[in-house]
Parts: sequence; structure tokens; C-alpha cells
Amino acid sequence: MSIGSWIRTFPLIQYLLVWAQDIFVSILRTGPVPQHVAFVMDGNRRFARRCKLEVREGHSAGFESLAHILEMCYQVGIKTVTVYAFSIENFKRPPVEVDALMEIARTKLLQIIHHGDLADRFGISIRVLGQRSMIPSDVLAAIDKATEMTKHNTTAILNICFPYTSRDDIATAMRDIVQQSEKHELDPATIDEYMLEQHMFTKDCPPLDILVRTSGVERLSDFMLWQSHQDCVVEFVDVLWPEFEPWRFGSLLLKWSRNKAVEYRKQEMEQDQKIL
Amino acid sequence: MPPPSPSFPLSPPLSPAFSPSASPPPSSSASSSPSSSSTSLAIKPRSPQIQREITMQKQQQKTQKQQQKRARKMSLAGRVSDMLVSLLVPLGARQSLMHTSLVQLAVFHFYHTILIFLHILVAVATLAVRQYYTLKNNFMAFLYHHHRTPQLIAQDVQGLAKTPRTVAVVLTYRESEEGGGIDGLLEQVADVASWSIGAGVKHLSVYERTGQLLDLHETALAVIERTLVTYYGDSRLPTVRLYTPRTKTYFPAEEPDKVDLDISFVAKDDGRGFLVELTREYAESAARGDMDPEEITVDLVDRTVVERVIPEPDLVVIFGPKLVLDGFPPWQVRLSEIYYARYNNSVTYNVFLRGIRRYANCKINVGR
Repeated sequence: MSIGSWIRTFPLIQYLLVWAQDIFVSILRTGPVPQHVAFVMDGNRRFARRCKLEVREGHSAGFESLAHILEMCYQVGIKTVTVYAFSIENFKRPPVEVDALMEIARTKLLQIIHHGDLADRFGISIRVLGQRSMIPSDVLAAIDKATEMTKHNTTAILNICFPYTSRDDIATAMRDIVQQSEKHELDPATIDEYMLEQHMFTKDCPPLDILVRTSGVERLSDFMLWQSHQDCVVEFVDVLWPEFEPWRFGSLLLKWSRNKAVEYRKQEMEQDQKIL
Repeated sequence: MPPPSPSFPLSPPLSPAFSPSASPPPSSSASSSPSSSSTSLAIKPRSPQIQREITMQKQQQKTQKQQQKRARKMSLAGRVSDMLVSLLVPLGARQSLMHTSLVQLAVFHFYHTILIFLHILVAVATLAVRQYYTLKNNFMAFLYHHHRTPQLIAQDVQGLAKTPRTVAVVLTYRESEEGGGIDGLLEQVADVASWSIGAGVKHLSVYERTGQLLDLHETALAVIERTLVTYYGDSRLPTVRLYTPRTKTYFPAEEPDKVDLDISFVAKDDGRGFLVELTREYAESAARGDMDPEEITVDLVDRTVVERVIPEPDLVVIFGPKLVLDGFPPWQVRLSEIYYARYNNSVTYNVFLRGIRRYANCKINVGR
């Protein structure tokens, strides 16, 4: 047991940590805050292997971690959070694990829309992005219930990518546009980047500011390719997802906020020079 | 941000309040006449009425003045707090978070001051981290150098589990800087090409946002061959073929017997721009009835993109200090290992080699 976790077993420490985190959140709120953050939740299975747990328990631990991170996000004032829950490629995994993931998705979705839970507390509208046709019917029912119940919430958005790949997203957007063109509803000459963007799953969301991928893997793995390849800050973190703590995320936010403040300062100086 | 002129919020309430002589000219004449008439007894019976009028007027004046005063006070406080709010909103903070009440504003600024301190701490920490990484980069540059010897490069990549076949590099065009400009960029391309051949790479994509290199084939090949001679000598000179997907031009135009390295030049428009173009094409043929929209699948798009732009690279090396893809074609970075050296600002062999080593150690399991 490391010293850190030993100290945490002290009676008041947990309480103090929560309190300190609240203050940290109030501090972060006063500065520039990203509008849209995306997470690739990688490392659940490695975590399970390391702690000698079953795979499904690893995924459950991952969900716990997600709940903590989401809470911090919405407290800080991030409007949109997108998480990569399940890739289309993940259907290649052993059926037992796929079933376990589906079960977790179903129960947890129904849990967070419960009265007084996450969605209710922060006014989150839940959306599920991805190929609906691939989802089993019982999970689909849960998804429909969750989106229906939370669609009137306007404070924040939680996008759950399930089952999603970015290439599929782009191809689907293209197909939609071509279908409209086939019916002569639009002029092909008017097609541009903006229109393509408006046909993607993330159409109503602000531009992506930060993409976090855990577990030290340094590639995008077909997630938010279109959204992240320009000005987005990509952060590869060398921590397994269940061990990705709000503090760690807070430090990323602080770094972002500082860089943004410097950027604003530069813009301001440039404007002043223009006036002079 | 130009601050709102402080005289403006004060001026409107001032004019009526500070010039009472101008606004009530009739009352002044009325007030002067009773004072003179009070001595003469002839008009005494009329006095209570006049007196009442006078007191009424005086009261009216008083209340008016009070109202004006209060209004001025109110508006002053209001305006001051408005001004404070508008002036004290820090850059980047959301207006919706700002409160009009001064207490809340004070709390806000208390926290914001701490945030500024934290920002300073971050800046100091970044400085230290940058020192560390600069040292590390310099040390690695000292440790690994190509010495223009292909054997050394081969030795460096020997024993790696796998080496990438397709590599993409992200370069930046720098104006008016040492080693910048078109010449600097061409030198960089030549260097990267030499290392790539040494490391057994078959296809190299050179991404440069602004597209300076797209139609400089002849000069580029001259520079590359000049550099290759210093590595391989005249006798075993590898063959290189340049290609610009945008203009579909090869250089040399006729295909040689054996190509050691294919180099493709791409720019920002080959990313999103190409996907938009492709959509337009599909839409046009669908409008003519030549195409069924259902045919558009990930596979079809992928085949077209690989054929007409660049294949998906195994490894993307960013020769910049930050992990920003800078508009690199999005479709192609799906599973590419992305490598950059923190705080590195130059195109050096050690960064390239570290990228290749990172690729050798990574494990790609699509979905599994």
C-alpha cells in the first residue's frame, strides 16, 4: 500500500479531500472553461487484470470513475461531455464481455436518470451517438427512455458514443447529404464543411476543446477524428481509466485554462496595437 | 478593451441636479415677491394662500430634489456596479457566471485571484518541465545521430519488433527564421526522406498546412537527391518518386523500375476539403441517378481516400512542440500512432527514431 492510499484511510481525510475539491472547482469556474471535452475511457480491462478482478468488474470500476469525472465537469461548467463507451469494432470482443458491457450500459443508464442522480442534479440531457441498428432491443429501450426523460434539460449535454466510430460518423453524414441530393432537395454545389458537420452526430455541440485518452496509448482509435484534428488539445494520459482521478483531470483543466488566458491576453494586446 | 469613459455615467444626473437656478425660474420670482410683500400690510389677506402655494412649491422642489438625489445615488451605485461588473469580468469568464451583486462579485474575485496565482504556478512549473525536456531532447540528439551513415540508422532500428511501412510527418512552414522558408522546408523533407529510407519505410507523406510544397517537385527532388548522395554515395543512390495527390502529378512522370520511397505532399485542403469534395461528387452522381446513396459505406470512402489522397499512416510524427494535428487529414489518422517530442521545435533524427521505437512497442488491437 502506498503512502498516499494509507493517508487516505485516516478518518477526516476523505471529508477534507471532498471539501478541497469543491474549492478547487469554484476556483476553476472563474477562469476560461472548455465548452466541450471528450474522453476515451481506456484501460478498464488492464485495471481488472492488474487488480485480479473479473473483466466486468473492471468495467464497473470504469463507470464509477466516469461518474466522478462527469460530476467535476459539470460543476466546473463544461457544457458538453462526450465519452467513448463502445466502438463498432468492440463487437469483435468475446460475447461474454460484450453482453456484460451491454448490461452495464443498460443498468447505469437507467441509474443516472433516476430522480436526484447525475442527470437530475446538473440538468443533463443525455444523447446516445452511434449506429442504433446494432444495439440489442432491451438496451435500446433503456436508451430511448433515458433520452426521452432528459430531453428537456438544457444546462448540459452528455454524449454517449455507443456503438460509434468516427469514420462511420463521417460516412453516415455523407450518405445523408447524398440522399437529400438524390431527391433533389439540395444543390450539390452548396455542400461544404459546415453542411457535413451539421449532418454528424455532434451537430448541436460546441467545437471540441480537449480530448483525453487514458492508459498511455497514443492514438485516436477512430474517435472524434473530424472534431479533433484541428485546434483541439489532445491529451494522452498514462493512467488507466479507473484510476483517472478528478484531481488529475483538474490539473489538465488548469493547464488548459492558463494557456487560454495567455491566448486571450495576446489577442487583447494585438487589438490594442490595432487601435493605436 | 477600452474602458467606458467615467464621465459618461455621471453626466446625465448631474445636469438637472447641479443647476437648480436654471430649471425653476418661475418659482424664484414667486419666492422673491412674497419676501418683499411681507413688509407691506396691504396684501396681507392674500398671504395664507400665497404662503400655502409657496410651501407647496418649496415642498415640491424639495421632493423633486430628493428624488433627483436618490435617483442620482441609485443610478450612481447602479452604474458603478455595472461598470465594475463590465470592467472586472476577467477575460474568458462567462458573463452568465457574473453576478450583479457586489458581494457575489467579491467572492468571485477572491476565487479568481487564487486562479491567477495557480496560473503563475503552472507557468513556473512549465518552465521547469520545458528545461527538463529541452535537456532530454539535446541529450537524445547527442546519443542518437545519423552521421549521414545508413548503416547507423539500420543499426538503430535493428531488433525492433516491427517498423512502420507508411509514415507521415507534420512540418511547419516558418517565415523569416533561421532554417525557415521554402529552402529550410525542402532541407527538412530531404532529411526525413533519407532517414525513412534508412529505416525501411516505403511510403512517406509530408503534411504541411499551407501547401507550399505541393508543386515544387523538381526543386524538391534535386534537394533530396543532393542529400541522399551524402548518405549513400553516388553508386547506390536510392530512387525516390514524388507525388502530389491534389494535382495528380508524379515526378518523375514515368514510373521507374524500382522505387525505394514514395513521397506524397499533402496540405490542409486534402483533409476535410477532400471529404467535402467527395461528398459533392457523390451527390452530383446521385442527383443524375448514377448512384445509390446506400453504396456509400466506410469501405467505399476508405478505398477512395487511399487511392486519391494518402494511405493511413502507421506512424504520424509531429515535429512541433505541441500535440496538435494542425489539420492533418482526419480520415487517415484512425489508428495511426501519433508521436511528438515535448518542447521540441526542430526536425531532428532522434525525434524520428523515437517515433519509430514508440511504434515498435505499441500494440494495436482493433476493438479487441
